[in-house]
Amino acid sequence: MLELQAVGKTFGELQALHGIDLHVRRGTVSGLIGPNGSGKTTLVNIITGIYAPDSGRVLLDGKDVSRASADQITRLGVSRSFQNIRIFNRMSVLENVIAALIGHHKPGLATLLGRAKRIGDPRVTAARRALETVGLLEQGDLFANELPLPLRRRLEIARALACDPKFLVLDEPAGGMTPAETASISELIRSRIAPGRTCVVIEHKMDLISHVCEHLCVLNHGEKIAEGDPRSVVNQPEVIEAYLG
Amino acid sequence: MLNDYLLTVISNIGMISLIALSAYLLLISGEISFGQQAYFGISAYAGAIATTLWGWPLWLALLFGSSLAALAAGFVGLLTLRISGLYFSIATLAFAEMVRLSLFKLSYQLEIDGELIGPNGAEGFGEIRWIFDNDVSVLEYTLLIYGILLLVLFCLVLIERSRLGMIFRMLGQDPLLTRIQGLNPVRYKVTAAILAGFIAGLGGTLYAHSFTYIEPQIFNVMLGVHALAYGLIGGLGTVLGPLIGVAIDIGFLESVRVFQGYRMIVFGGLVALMLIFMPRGILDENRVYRLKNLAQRWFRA
Repeated sequence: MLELQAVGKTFGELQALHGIDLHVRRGTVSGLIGPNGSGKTTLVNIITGIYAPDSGRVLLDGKDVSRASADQITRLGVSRSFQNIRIFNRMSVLENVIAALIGHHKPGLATLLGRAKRIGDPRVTAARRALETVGLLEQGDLFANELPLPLRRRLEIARALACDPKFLVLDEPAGGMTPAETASISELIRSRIAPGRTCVVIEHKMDLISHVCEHLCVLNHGEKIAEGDPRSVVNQPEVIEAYLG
Repeated sequence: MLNDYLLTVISNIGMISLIALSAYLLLISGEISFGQQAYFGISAYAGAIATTLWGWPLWLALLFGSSLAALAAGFVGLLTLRISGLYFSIATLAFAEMVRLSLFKLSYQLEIDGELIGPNGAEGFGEIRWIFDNDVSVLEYTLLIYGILLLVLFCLVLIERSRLGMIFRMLGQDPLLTRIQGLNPVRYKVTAAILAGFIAGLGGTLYAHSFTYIEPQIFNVMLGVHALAYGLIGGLGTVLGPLIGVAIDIGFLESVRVFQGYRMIVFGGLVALMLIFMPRGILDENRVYRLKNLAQRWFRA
């Protein structure tokens, strides 16, 4: 369903990605790991339309989306969270999730002028459902910047989840968390987020990767150095050398 | 009974509130415009020409002036799509100065009752006599200003509660994140610019007819800076914020004798203090949200 064909990206003199091929099958959870600066986030930014690749193609359900803008990619059913948490700090938790549901289908004038938090509005219902899924329903009325870091990560996931995306990208969902918090988010992804969804999870924490991913791809210096079953991939000598030390 | 001086202060607060609301709309969308005075000025001249030289009724002149201002604002919005932050502020200031300097060159006079009337460069544009010709008292004109201001406030409250208002606030916080939600920022940035231009335009035409004389110098950068400062003082969490800012400046600093001659010093100091201690104003988003929750709980109880 998501296919990357020889995707390359250069920033000035730096070749961030060298002809990456990747195939993410429908309904699977794939992991993407690699040391800092290996090109993981660049790859995610290309998948989600923030950057256009300099070479190669990105295919979503067989359709070439290499030149599509980020908002077009989102409307095609791709949602994401960010490594550096990005939430609307000056809005409530519930409003943050409703925000994801306005642009899901290109809004017309009637949609735009409708009341954002009207009781009974399907967007509000869907937002509440997403918050419930990640365990944040009780905090819905709080201001987003009042949440502690682990709950902000959950809020990002709820926002990405709200429009029932075809394809979900989680960029370091356990970034900055303690082992206990990591275990909790890992279980949440495995039991409530991943089932029935196509996901790519970028993470450094191998516990989380091995707990939630069926397939693993390893990047180093912008090149794919290994791919396959997580348990066998992490034992490959080049992966140990490049990533695990 | 209200005297004419007090009424003039009150009507001035109403008209300046419109340009403050215009700057506020852009502020919540994340853009600091130093150029809203351009749209105020364009509409002041266009509206005054329409009533004085062409004999149009005021309501049509208001619509004409404000639409022209909105058109200009949309044009500037399109031109500045690829810039933001300081560059956007400079671009809007440059446009406003272009407008002001162009008004110095604008000469369009017609002979009415044996007299040449109309804008004439630095001499300005006098004899904007609509309120005298139609026997409108100062009180009646003040009520008209406040009627329009209330209508604009009502529309802005509806927009703020709407999904469009939510998008403006999203844009103001994180344009990339807004795009990632499937929304094209270009569309909404230009929409905000057009709406803001229209609102400033309403103030401009009303201003020209209230003072019966306008000149290019009125629409200088200080008007734009004040318009911005009102939102920053009053707060960016609600449409009432800019009105509080206007009331503090014109209603208090300009009208209370003890501040006479020191108004700009006190006002400048106030803006500096606000930016340090309350960067998003008295009624910022957080306080407004808490107040709303408090009010809801109180009503439920």
